[in-house]
Amino acid sequence: MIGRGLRILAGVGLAAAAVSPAIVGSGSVLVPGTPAVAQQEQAKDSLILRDGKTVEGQILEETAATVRMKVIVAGISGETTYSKTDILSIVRAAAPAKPDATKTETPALAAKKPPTPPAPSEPVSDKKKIYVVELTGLFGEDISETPIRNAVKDAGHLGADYIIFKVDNDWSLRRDGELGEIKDDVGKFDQLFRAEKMETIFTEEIPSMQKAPTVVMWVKKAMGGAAFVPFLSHTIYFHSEGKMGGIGHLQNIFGSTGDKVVQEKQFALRLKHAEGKAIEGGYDPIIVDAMARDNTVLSVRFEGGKPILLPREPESPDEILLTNDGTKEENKDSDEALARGEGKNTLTLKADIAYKLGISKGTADTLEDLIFQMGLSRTSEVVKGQADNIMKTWRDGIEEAKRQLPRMYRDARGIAPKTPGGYKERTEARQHQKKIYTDMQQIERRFEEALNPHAIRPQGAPNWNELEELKKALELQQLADKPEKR
Amino acid sequence: MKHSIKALLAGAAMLLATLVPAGRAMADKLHLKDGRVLDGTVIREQDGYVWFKMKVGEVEQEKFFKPSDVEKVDRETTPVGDAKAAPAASDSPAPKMHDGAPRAAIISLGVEDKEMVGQFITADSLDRCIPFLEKEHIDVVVLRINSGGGALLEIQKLSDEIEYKLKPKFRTVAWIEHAISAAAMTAHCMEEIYMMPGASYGACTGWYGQLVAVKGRELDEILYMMEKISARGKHDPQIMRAMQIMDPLSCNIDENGDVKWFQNLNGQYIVNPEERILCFNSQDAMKYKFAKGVAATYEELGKAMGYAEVEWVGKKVPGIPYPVCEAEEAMIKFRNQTDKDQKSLRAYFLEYNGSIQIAQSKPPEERGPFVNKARNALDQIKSMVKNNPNEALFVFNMLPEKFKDWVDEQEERLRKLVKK
Repeated sequence: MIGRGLRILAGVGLAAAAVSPAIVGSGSVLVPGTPAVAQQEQAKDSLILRDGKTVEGQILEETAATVRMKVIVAGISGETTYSKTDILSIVRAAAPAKPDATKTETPALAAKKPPTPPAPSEPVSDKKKIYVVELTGLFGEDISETPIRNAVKDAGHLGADYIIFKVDNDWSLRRDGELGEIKDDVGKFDQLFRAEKMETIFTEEIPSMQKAPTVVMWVKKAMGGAAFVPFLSHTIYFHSEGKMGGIGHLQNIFGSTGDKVVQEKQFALRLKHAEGKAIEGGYDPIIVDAMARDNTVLSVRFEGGKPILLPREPESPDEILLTNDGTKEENKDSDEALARGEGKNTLTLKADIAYKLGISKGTADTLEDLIFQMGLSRTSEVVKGQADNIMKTWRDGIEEAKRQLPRMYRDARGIAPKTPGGYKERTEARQHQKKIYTDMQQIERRFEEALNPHAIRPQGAPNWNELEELKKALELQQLADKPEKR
Repeated sequence: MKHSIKALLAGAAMLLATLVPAGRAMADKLHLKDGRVLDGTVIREQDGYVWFKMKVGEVEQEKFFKPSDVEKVDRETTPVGDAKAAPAASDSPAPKMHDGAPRAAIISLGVEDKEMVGQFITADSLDRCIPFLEKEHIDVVVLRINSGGGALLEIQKLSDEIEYKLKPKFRTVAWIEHAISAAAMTAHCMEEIYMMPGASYGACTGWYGQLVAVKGRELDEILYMMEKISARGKHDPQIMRAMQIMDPLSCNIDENGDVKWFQNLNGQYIVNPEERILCFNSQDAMKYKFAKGVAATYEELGKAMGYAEVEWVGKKVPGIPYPVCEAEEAMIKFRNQTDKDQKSLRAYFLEYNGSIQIAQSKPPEERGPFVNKARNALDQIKSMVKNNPNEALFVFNMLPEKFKDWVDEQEERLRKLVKK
C-alpha cells in the first residue's frame, strides 16, 4: 500500500534510532527524512524491525521473547523493549578494534571532545502499558464513537503503549424486543455506515496521538456493523469462540425494489466502502466481498504456510473452498450446514480460518493468554483505566434517556395552567413546557449519535427538530396571548 | 504567487516523464501482488521483506514492502551496500515554478452528514472560495472529497467551476475519501486524482424514487455529458460509462505502464464484469493507473504529488486533520449554515405562517409586532437561499428568479397587513 509505504518511508528516513525527534510541525515545509544524530561512539547493535524501521543502540538483554535495548539520541538515553515478533533480525556490533599502540598524534576526536559523563537516564519504565477497552452491548448504541473516543483519551493520559479492544457485541434479538440470537447468516451490512462514524478514531486520531499506542483487536463477537471495526487495526486476535461476520446477503437487501442497474450501483458503493476498511487495515479486500456477497467465489491455497486467495472454485486437491456462488440453487446452504456454522454462501470468520488466512495473529481465550501471544508477558502491565466506567456510563445514559424522553414528553403535554388560569398562569405553563422541551433537546444532543427518539419503544418521542417546532409554537402562542383587561 | 497555465503544464509534464522508468540507473523491478511493477533499486532484502529505492517525480524515496505485498523481485543490482552506491538517474531537484515552496490549500467538498452534491457541495460555494485562495497566494488547490452523491443538475456547474475557474489559476487535484455517484462525476474533470487508502470512487448510476433508474433520452444526455467531462480529466470515457450503466470494462497494461481500455471482457484485466456497476477502491484505482497515488495524510499527499517541499496553508483546528485555510473556513461556514437552515426550515415556516395568522386576527393597530416576527422569519428564509441558491429549487421547487418573485409577493403581503 503506497499510503502506508510512505508513512513507513518517513520512519525509515528518520530512523537511526528508535526515539526520533519530530522535525516538522503541521503547515511547515516538509523535507525528506533526515537521520537523527546519535552520539554513541561505540559500535552499535541493530534491530531490523518488521515494519521496515532499523533501531540502533546497545542490546542490554535478550530473552526468548524480547530484546531490551538502550538507545541514545542527542545525549538522552532510553531503554526500550521489543517483542521478537516485531523483529526481523538482530545484528550485533563487531567487537571494537584494539587501539593502535603506534599512534601518537593527539588531535583525535575523542581528545577534542573530552568524555562526558553519561546523561542521566530518563525514568523510563521497562514495562509496556496495556489498556483494555471492552466493546460490548448493541453496536451503534452501546458501542459508539463518543465513549470509544473518551476511552482512547484516557489511555493516552495513562501513556498506554497498547490498546486492546475486546469486541464482543450483542448479537441478540434484544433490539427487536425478542429473545434469542440473530443467526450468523443474517446480514446487517448497512450497519457499515454506523461503523464509518467510528473509523476516524482508529485511522486518524490514535495515529496522531503524541504517543500513539498500537491498537489490537481481540474478537469474541464482531457481527453486523461490528465486523468492520477489527479491520481498522493491523493486529487482530480471536477468541477460540470468536466470530466475525453477519454482513452477508448484500444482494438481497433491496428485495425486488427498483431497477437492477440501480441495485448494482448500491451494492458497488457499499462493497467498496467496506473494502476500504480492509485495505486500511492491510487485509485483502476480497475477504470483505466473500463475507458480504453470496455470489463471491473464493478459495485458498497455502504456499509455504502463506495463504493465496483465489477468486474461483478449487481446481486442485490442495485448494480449499471458502465460499461458493450461493445465488445458484444447487449451492444454497442447507439448514444443517447453517446450524453447524459450515455454510459456504457467505464467509463468517472463525478463529481457525481467520488464523489460516493471516487475518488473525493468534487465538487467545484470556487476557493473559492474549498478552502472552503478543510476546509481552514479562514486559508489560495492564493499566487500570476508566474504560469500563466510560463504556458503562454511556450505556446507562442511553438506557436512561430512552426512559426519560417519553416520560418528559408526556409530562410536557399534560401541563395545564394553574388556577385561576390567567395570563400569568398561562405564561408560566408555557415556560414550563418550553423548559422541558429544551431539557429533552439537551439529552438528545448528548446521545444523538446513538439515539433515535422515534424508535424508542413503545411510542417514541419527538426529535430535536420537532421539539424546536414545539417551542416555536409556544412562542407564537405567547405572542398572541395578552393579560386580561381589568 | 500565481503561475501561468504553461508553467503548470510544464511542471506536470516533467513529473509524468520521470514517473516512467528512466533506464538503467534504477535497474531492479519489484512486482507487487496488486499488479504494480515498480522500477528502482533493492536496498535490502530479508525473509521476503524488501527495502526499495525508487523515484517519485524527481524525488528519490525509500519504501518498505512486506512479503504479503511482494510477488517477485527481478534484480540486476546487488542489495545492501552495492545498491546504496548506485547512482540516481538525476540528482537535480524538481524544477520549481517560483521561488519558495508552493503554497497548497485543502478545501473539503463534503464531510460526514453534510455531503450531498447540490446542497453541501455546490458550484456557488466553491466559487466563493476563489477570492480567499487568491488572497492567500495559493498555488495548489486540493479538493478533498467525501460524498455519497446528490443532484445530477449540479454536476455540470461544478465541473465548469473547476475547469474554467480553478484549473486556470491553480494546480487543482482531487483527494478522495469517498466519491460516489455525483461526487465522482464532479471529480472526474480533474486529471490528478489521489485516493486515501480506504477510498471508494464510482457507482454513478442516476436514479430517483424507489431505485428507479434514469432512462431513455435523459440517460443518453447524461452519458454524453460525462464523455465530455471525462475528456476534461483526460480519462478514458469507457471508465465512467461502466460506472453509470452495466457495461463491462477490461484493460491491457503494457510494459510501459500504459493502459488501453475495452468496453468488453477481452482485455488482460477484467475491471468491471458484466451486469455490474464499476466502483474503484484505492487498490483498483492504482492498479489500473486511474489514480496518481494513495495518501492517507496531507503530508503523504504532498510527496505523492511529487513535491519535495510544500507549504500547507492554514491553521490547526482540533478535529480537522489538515490545516484550515481561509477558503476552507468559508466552506465550513457555508455547510454549517446550510445544515442549520435545513434543520430549522419547518421552524422558519411555522414562525412565518403562524405570525401572519395571528396578525390577521388582530386589528391593524396591533399587528405590528406580529408582522415584525413574520418579517424576521422571511429574512431567515431569504438568507437560507442567499447562502445556498439551490435551496430555492430543493425547498420551493422554484428557479431563483421565481423565488425572488415569491419573496416580493410576501413582502407586499406584510406591508398590506400593517396598513391602516
